[in-house]
Formats: sequence, C-alpha cells, structure tokens
Amino acid sequence: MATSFEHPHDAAWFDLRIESYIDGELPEAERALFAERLLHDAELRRQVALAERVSLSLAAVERPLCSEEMVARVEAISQGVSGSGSGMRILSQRSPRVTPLRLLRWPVGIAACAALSLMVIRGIGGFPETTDTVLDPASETYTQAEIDAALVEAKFALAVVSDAGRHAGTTVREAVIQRHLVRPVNTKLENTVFGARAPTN
Amino acid sequence: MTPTEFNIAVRDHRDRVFGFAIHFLGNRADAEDVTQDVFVRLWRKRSAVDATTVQPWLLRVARNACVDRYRHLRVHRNVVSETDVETVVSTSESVSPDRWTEQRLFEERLAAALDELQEPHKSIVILREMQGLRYEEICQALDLPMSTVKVYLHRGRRALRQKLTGVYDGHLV
Repeated sequence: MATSFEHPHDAAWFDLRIESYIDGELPEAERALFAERLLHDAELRRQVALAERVSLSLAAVERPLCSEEMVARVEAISQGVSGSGSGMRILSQRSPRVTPLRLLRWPVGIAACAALSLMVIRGIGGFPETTDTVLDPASETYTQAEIDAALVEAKFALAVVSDAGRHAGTTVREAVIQRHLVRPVNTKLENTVFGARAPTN
Repeated sequence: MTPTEFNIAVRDHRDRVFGFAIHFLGNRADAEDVTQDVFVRLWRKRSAVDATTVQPWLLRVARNACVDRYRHLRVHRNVVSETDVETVVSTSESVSPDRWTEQRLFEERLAAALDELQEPHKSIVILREMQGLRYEEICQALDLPMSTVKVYLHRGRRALRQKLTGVYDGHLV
C-alpha cells in the first residue's frame, strides 16, 4: 500500500523481517525502523497480524497421541525378537507396491479374456452341439427342433458370457483385491499381532 | 540398546514421532505406518544408536520416511492434497459459532498451505512451531547448522503467510 511516509527501505525489506520482528530477533536499529514503519503502513500491519495468527494457530494445534495398540505392536518387536530372528523377518516384509506394470496386468488380462470370449461367441473353434439356427421371423410356425436348437445356442451364449464374467471376476479378485488389498492387510496384521512373537517350539 | 531401553524410547518418543508424521502426511493411517517403521528401524539399528541421541535419530529417520511416503502417495494415490483437517485443529476454548467457524476455516487453509511447503521448510516448521522443539534439537535431527535452520524456518513461515495473504484481512475474506 502506498504511503506518504518515506523510508530508507522498500516494502520487500520489511516483508522479509516480519517473522523476525514477531520473534523479537531483529537488531535494535532495525526494530526501531520496523516499529516506525508499522505506524504508517496498513499493509505491513495486516501482514504482521497474519504472521502472528499463523504462529499462534500452529502452536495451538492439538498434539495427536499415538494409539496404545500401535505402541503394543511396536513393543512386541523387542519381546518377540529377543528369542528369534523370525519375527523380524516377518516384520521386515513390505506390502507389494503398486507399480505401473503391475497395474497393467489385470486390464490386459481382462482384455484378453474379453477377446477370447468374442472369438468363442463368433464361432472360432465353436461348439459342436450348436448349429447356425436362424429362425425366420416371417414364418409364424417353428418346428420343435428349431426351437430346441435356438435354446441350446442361447444357453451356450449365456454360458460363455457367464464364464467370461466369472473369469474376469476371479482375475480381478486375485490380481487386485487379494494381492493389493487383502494380502497386505493380512501381512501387516500377522506381522503386528503374531509375527513378532517368539516361536513356541 | 536392550529391550527395556528400547521400550523406554518407544514410550518417550512415540507421540513426537507420530505427531511429526501426522502433521507431515496429513492422515493417521500413514502416520501410524511410518511411526511403526521408524521404531522397527530403531530396533534393527539398536547397536549403533546411543540412548542419549535417540530423539534426533528418530526424528531424522521419521522425516526421511515421511518424505518417501509423501512422494509415494503423491505418485500412486494422489490423495496428499486432501489433507486430513483433523490434524490441524486447535484446542480452542469456547468461542462464538462465527468465530469458531472462521478459525476452523483459517486452520483448514493453513493446513493446506503447510502441505504445500517445500522441504526442509515443512519439517522445520512442524518441529519448531507445532512441536515446540528447541533450535538445537532441530539442528541435531536434521543435521543442519543453526543459522540454516533459522533461515529455513523464517522462509517457511513467510511462505505460509504469503499463501494465506489473499484470504485474510483481519479475518478470512
């Protein structure tokens, strides 16, 4: 903010010293200059107020406490390892990290699965039991054989779709959910609850 | 370091390590992971760590672990910007609802600004302003000279102030 009051230093000079001024770390000469400037510079007063509020807010932040469960887990390290190194080996295991290559695995798997399903549906290596049954919509009557053949085809198509869905589900479950979610949590739980204990025999 | 000394170290420093991690990372789950990792490392290195210097050792390892974890989160989960506001809530006394809301908003913006601070400014601001460590303790923990720590602290606080300048005019705008 422009003021009529002239100082030997520019606004940036004062801005650099706001935190030191609040902490009382400015040399006496600079402190006097700063205090004088404060009387005339509303923007500097605003910045000092903001700096004070930042400091007060940071100091007033609640100090979070570590949970007792975590402390117990950590202390189990020393109790469990004093007898054997196996606990530490288990503790040292890390959850598998999700790398781009690993992330690519299951989409590629699903795509391959879908492509395979399409190939099957389109008849490559098709089903010997089925025929290309075409019901003529113009015809109002169908033989029982035509209806049965159409039903069989529909059943196989549904089975293929169902199988593809099941396979995709299994792939997702094993490659993603089990590997990246369930197993790391289980490993961590085992590490923290059982892994650090000394073996009983 | 015997198991007993290790357990004493855990009891004495757990909250400081955990507090640093939660302020650095912004969420409890990752902070607990980091805290556990830090103490596991302490146990592994117990023969090389002197009981008298265990606090700076723990803080240094915690800081490095937090930096690694923060990078990992940023790359793989992209959730770091969603700072857990619970970590920066002051223990304010009874105030009017308007004042409380305004203070809460200010703290949320302060938390976001802190999250964006560069290293080592962020660590130094947390250790000094939020955890109340002495300059000497910070110097030992970060292995930096005192003059450097003071300069970084002032820069960090100035960066926080500058990030909040646009939203503060005696009260939030």
